[in-house]
Amino acid sequence: MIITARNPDMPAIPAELFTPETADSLEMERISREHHSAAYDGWIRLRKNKGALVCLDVLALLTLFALIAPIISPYTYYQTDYMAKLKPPSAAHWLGTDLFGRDLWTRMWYGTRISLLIGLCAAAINIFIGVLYGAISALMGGVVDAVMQRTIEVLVGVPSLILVILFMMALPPGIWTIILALSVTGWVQMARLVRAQILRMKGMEFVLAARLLGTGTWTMIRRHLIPNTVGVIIIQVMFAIPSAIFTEAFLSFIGIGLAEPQASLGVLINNGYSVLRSSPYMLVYPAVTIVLLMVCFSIVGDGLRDAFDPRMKG
Amino acid sequence: MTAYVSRRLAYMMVTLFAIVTLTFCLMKILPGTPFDEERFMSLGPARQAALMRQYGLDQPVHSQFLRYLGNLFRGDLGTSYFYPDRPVLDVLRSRIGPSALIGSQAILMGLAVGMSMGIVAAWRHNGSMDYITMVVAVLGVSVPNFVVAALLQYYVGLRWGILPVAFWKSWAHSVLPSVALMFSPLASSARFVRTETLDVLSQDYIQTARSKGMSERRMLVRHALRNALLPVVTILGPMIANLLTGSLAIEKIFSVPGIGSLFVESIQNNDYPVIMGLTIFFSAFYILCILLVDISYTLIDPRIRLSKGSEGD
Repeated sequence: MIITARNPDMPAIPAELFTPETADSLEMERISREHHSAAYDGWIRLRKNKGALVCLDVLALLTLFALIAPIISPYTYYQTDYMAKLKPPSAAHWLGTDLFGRDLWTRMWYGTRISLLIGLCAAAINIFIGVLYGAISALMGGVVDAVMQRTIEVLVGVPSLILVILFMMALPPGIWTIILALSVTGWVQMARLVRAQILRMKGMEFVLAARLLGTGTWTMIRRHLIPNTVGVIIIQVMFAIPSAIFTEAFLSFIGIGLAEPQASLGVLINNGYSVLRSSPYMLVYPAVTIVLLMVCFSIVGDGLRDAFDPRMKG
Repeated sequence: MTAYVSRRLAYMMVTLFAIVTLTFCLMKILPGTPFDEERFMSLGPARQAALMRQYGLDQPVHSQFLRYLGNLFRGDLGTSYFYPDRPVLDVLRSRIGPSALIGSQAILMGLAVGMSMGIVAAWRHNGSMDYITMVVAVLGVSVPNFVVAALLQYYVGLRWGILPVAFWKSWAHSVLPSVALMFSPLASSARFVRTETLDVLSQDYIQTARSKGMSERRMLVRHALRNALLPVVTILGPMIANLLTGSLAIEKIFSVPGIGSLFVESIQNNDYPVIMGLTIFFSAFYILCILLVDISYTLIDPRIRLSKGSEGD
């Protein structure tokens, strides 16, 4: 290029001072900011929510106790002592003992651990199936989408709790049966949300722009679709975990969940209810723990929803 | 509209068929025969075989299934194993009254209290009533209703002796179960109505009404309430579903002779025909409720169009 209007007073710049700037035009045009995931964005907004942070700490503390307390306790959750039945709290048994002389402190935290395990596993399976189902349905479109959506419409009509109860009856009792039963219909909501979110994004301008600039399908999924769906998934998980814990407690309470000597919050509430007249404290511990879990999950879930989708009000 | 309703009805039938099939299969997976219990063991092998024949259990599974479907179409749900001379429909009918009473009382009270709390909370946004409502809303969905029921039974029933603890003799016996069942609809409606009212109150037409000097009360009743209460219909479906769930534990706690406790009992008694009958009944009721909610919502809110609402999201 020839520069015609050169300032005559300025000395000529020697050619060797110029260094070639190798700009990759493709690199410049790529529409993708520095990787600052939706999850990270959400975290920045969540940090301002004091209530949610406190609840997150409480959850972490409860999890820590559930993991460690049964290990360092001198008792096991199934060890009976008929000399010390239904004892009130004391130095030897911090929360007292139950009908079979089992240490309630140990059983409480062991039960919390099992309840958390059930909640996490059920939620994990629900994410896995739900995200896969929703994503395939939304990305494939056409006949595949139609068939998958009709299937979902049939499943949505099923009262999930009844189905869970039937599964519990048909399969041998245990933790994995509960998790399996909870997963039978639990993923449907997740699949619908993921599909809706992906469909919404497919219609957005930034996706169109990225496609026009030649972004391939996999890059599109990896860089744009997944990061923007993470928020929806995380929020749904925060509601799926307590819901699974709640259902387990309900099943164990009506007597078709976990069996003795296994402990979960539901089993403990059931035990406590049976001796409510003589030792009401036995019901109080697991009840308080489950309420604390539910409240914290629900507040953190609300906080996450506000953080990830500021337009939605809780 | 007609096309939409008939399409939904068709889905309903498919869903019900899927549930019937699945339930039937699960019942067949269950280990042992329904006559393994002690009271049947004493009958001896010959009588047991006769019982199996009487209930058609000696035939191959697929013909049992076809027969069940055929009977179902004629409105016959079979005969109970546990009450040997009573048709399932009969057992069901005799137990439905208490559940319906408790359920409707719980939903009506819960909605009345919850919606009032929600409106006041939004009207006095960030006031003390608002905080109380939010606490109630969070606790209402966080405290399992069987814990509430156990505590109510212990304190109100046993310690203070105000209301009967259990059983089903007079209306007073229905109060505690209804109250225990009420909290979940109360909490969800309070929270929902609060959000909706807050949304409505920030709308332009409310500002206009205010600036024209309309009184707070008139503005609230004439404008805010109407628009805020309409969407409550949408949460009625999940609410009724929750009610069914809740009734299982609560009827057990208060020894209410309803269908919830019947379900738990028949599970303990391996009374398969009753379990299947109840499963079909619960499912049909649930699906019908959701359908009615969807239809009525579109009828009362002209802004919603059915074709749009039925797209799956």
